[in-house]
Amino acid sequence: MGRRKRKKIVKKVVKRIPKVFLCPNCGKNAVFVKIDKKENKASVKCSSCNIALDVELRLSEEPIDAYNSFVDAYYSGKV
Amino acid sequence: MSKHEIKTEDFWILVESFVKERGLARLHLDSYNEFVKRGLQQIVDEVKVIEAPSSVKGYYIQLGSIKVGEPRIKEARGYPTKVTPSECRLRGLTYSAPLMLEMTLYVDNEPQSTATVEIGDLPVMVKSDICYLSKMNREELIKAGEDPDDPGGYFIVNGSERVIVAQEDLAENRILVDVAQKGSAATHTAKVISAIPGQRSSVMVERYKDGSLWVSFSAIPGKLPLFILMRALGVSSDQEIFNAVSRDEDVWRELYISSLQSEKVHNTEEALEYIGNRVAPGSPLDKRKERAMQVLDRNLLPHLGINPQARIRKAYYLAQMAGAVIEAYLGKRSLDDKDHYMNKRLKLAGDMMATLFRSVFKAFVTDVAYQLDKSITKRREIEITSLIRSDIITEKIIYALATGNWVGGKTGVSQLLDRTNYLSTLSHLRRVISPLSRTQPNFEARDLHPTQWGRICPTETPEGPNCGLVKNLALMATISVGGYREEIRNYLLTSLKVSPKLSKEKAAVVYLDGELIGYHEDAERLAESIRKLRRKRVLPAELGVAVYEKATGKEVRINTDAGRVLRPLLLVEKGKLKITKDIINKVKDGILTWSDLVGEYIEYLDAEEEENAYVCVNIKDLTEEHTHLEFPAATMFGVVASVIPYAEHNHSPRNTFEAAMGKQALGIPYLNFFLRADSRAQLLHYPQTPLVMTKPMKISGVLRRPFGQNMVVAVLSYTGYNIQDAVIINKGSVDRGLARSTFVRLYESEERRYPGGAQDRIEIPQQGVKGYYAPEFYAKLEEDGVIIPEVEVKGGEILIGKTSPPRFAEEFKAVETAGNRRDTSVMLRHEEKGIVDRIFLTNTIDDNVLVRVKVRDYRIAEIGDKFASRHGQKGVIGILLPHEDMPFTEDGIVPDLIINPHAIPSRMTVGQLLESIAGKYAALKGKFVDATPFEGDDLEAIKKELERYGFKSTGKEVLYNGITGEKMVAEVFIGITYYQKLHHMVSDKIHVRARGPVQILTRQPTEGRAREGGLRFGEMERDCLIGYGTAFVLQDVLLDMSDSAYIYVCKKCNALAYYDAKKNTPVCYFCGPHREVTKVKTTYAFTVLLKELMSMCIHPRILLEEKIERWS
Repeated sequence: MGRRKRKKIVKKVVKRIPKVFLCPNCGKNAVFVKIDKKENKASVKCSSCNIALDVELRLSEEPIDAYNSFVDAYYSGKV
Repeated sequence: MSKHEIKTEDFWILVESFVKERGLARLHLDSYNEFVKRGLQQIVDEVKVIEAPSSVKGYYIQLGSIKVGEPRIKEARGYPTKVTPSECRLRGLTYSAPLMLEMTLYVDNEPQSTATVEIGDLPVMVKSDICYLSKMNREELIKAGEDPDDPGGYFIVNGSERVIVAQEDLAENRILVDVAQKGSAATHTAKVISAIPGQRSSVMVERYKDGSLWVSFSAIPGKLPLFILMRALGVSSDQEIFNAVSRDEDVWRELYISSLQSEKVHNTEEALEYIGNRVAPGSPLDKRKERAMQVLDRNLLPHLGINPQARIRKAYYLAQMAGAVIEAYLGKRSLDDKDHYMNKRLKLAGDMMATLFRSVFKAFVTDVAYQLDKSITKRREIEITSLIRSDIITEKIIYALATGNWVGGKTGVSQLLDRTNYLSTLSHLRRVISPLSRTQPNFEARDLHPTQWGRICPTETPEGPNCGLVKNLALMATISVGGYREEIRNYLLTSLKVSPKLSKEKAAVVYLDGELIGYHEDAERLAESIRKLRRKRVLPAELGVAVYEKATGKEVRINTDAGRVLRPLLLVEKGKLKITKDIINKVKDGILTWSDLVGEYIEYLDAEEEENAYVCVNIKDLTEEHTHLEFPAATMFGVVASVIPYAEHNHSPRNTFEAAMGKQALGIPYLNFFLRADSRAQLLHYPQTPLVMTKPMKISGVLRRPFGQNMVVAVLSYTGYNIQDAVIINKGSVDRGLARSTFVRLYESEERRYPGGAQDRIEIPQQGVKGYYAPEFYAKLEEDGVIIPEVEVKGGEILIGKTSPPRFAEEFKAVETAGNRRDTSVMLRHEEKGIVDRIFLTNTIDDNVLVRVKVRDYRIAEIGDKFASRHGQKGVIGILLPHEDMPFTEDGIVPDLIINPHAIPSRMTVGQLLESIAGKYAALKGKFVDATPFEGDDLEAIKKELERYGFKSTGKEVLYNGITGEKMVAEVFIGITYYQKLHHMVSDKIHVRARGPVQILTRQPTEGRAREGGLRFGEMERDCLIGYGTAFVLQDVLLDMSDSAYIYVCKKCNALAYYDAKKNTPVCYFCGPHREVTKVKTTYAFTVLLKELMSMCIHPRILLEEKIERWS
């Protein structure tokens, strides 16, 4: 009686490039990237386990590339 | 005039042969046949192998060929038996055929056993190639209980006829350049919906305001710079990219910004890393690159291939998109028109069934894999048949068809076939709906587009929110079927010398279904040779070729895909029509058919190729340059709009109104009405062929299933009973049988079985059964509990007596007493009456007894019934005037119907006046008049003839007042017009109530006619009474006539109390029984509120005051 089924509005999830990343060391979503364009450098730091590294800006000036360089460096034992 | 001259009538012979050969539901039949023939197998081949998900290797099932058997049903008891559509409709069955799949089981990689297994049922489209009816002639069809003129093209699911309505969609695999949305960072965009069977993804190239180019597609977050993506795809140097995008220096200049932007990414490896960083951040480098390559192969432009070899093609395709965007920005290229019909495709029954079957088949495969896994772990001998659960496929398909809820959340895909009359059925089968939102304006999409000429009816569209979004096909519109792309590809690359490599600078680019397949030296020559081959029937008739001249060079676009709307045109060569009178005569004599003419004399063009053609409208105007000649202009209308005589004389919205009303007219929807059991149906008695008709009406078969009657109509202001679109109808005519109809409703009941052995029983319920009415309600039932034919029944009387076991299992007792069964008899709707017409006693698919009772009601026209001419002029009967009171002419002709003269001038339905004059002539002459738009019989000649018969050419006559006998002052326009009785009748709508049922919860009157409800006295009405200050009327209407109730309020605690009738004392829930309680009159709804509040631990207090302040 008078009950109308409300149509569920399915929100389209737009995939975005994240700004905070997963830490390869502690697994927390807590890696931040600070870009320094003048020095062509980015300092990547996990605010949970405090591992950090300065990486060169290679492919772009976006945080995600710096983060991936950081991950590569981590796996090759440079952190 | 020589006998070799071709006249318009001759073209109509061709149109007739077109409809005769193909029918009007061909689009659905072709599409479904293609699905059955090839689509099914393709979907099976996409899967190929079913592997068990467990780690045990070497066990798998290979899928072979899939076949569709003959339509049949599986009765609950006994063997599968053949079934006809007629039986399905009558018994509420699904007309379907078994799907047989060849499966080979492999154990330890060795084939062990092969079996052809029934994997489920596929609903069969009526009159498709696998339907029995497609092979029958007229006599056999009649024997099978069918109307021989039924168009087919629908499914029968659970006894009801369902159409899969054509869906209009934006074409896939085409680059569409547009300006960017307002507010976005881009200026121009190029979009492609890239699709292969079972996969769809769209790609967009954008030019930002700063001049940079970005690519986005669904698998990656954000946007990628074009240059980086190009490098990742293997086109790495800037020079290569520049050359791929364009050969124009102006365009190159626009590329520098993008080039600079991507300078940090130098080569393919780095580009892949860049993309990998975005698709799989945080994984090791090699994993990221691998994922990047996977995404590029699988998700980017899948229509160009889903393997690494396709990357280079994808790069060039993207470059082309980029070039298009820049050219659009520079103004060197016009924007693509989304509403151009070359950019539209229709998805028909076959396509929709394919998407449905694909998803259902995947579910089936997962289930088989799971069953296989289970069998392996059990280490039993595996037999294929034991792994298959055929009901997965069957049930899911039937669910989708029965509800219209398709995979992917689309609703309303399948609809109940409209059987109001033959017109409405045909129109429903030729309907096209656009998925665009109704709520948004979408003005351009709703507008009539020039390319819809001859494809979509310009007249037939609904008014209101769906206007222009719901369309109907024109008479000769044809939809391409597709399915031969690879053959064409090979043919082009071998016989037609399309080379995959660019050899000369100036070569034209060749596209096949939007994919660049190669180059050819001379675009015109290639197109011309393809056309020649098509005309020689080496290539399919529906294949489309178009040549484009672009700033960058020439392009040849060849289309083979399904869903293009084609229309036939007559071929012209060197200013002369190719078809000759001789050929047409052969068609007339039945020596040649339509399909014999396609190719040599007639050609189908899609909207894209039509842009290359120069089509002549009138044969007299043919010149050397013309390539084609139109069929008669009246073929641009759809089936319904074609019934309007002199449509070209009407104000166009009036034609649109008639197109909507023609579908509501009573007529003969089908001839097999004795053998059908539709839940409701209406039939017009003595339907007549219209005296004034059009040629398409004869061709579409509408004349054989008429939908109205020819009436003598006077345009006259008489008695005042035809004010404001009311009409006066001659009571004498009605008494003699004018505008009578029969309404049929079906009532049904099934003897269901319940778990635990309980069962419904169709019987005369015994007194004492729960919900028993009164003996007189069951009086007309026979011993078996069912009423007999030809008994008159009134509302509320029982047609089928039935009792059911108690609703809940706890109530079930081993020994059943009459007392605990419920009465679930079926009674006639109380607002209806009628005569029991037919009774069908049969079994359902579960072997339950099914009783269906048809009740017919004889409807004689009465005041309030709705009528309409064929010109959007509708009205209701204002009075049934006695014959003797009606005006009469000097000849003694008395009109059947009188309309008001005010209905004409502002509405400009000149066509109706012409029809009236022509109708008069037709009646006098005893010959039908042709009123086909643009080419009907000569009106001047008709007028002259009228004068010869002693009538005025204006259609006016001297009339005498039937009441006073006086001669009327003015001459009156009178003639014969075809009128339709529409299915809105007072007897279906009349509704009164003094007292009646109330809702259980609120005790307010029920709502709606079907529930014998009251009419709501709403807020605005309440405001009126407040304005008048009529307090007692208000109280009467809102309280006494509704849910007035007495409540008791405790004076001590102000809480709701009650009256204990046993102890004869009021009781407060809190203070116990005492006398300090007040009885208050209020609405029952208010007490519901109080109780609801109390149930939520809220204590409502009712503070009472004396009505009138006491004297102090």
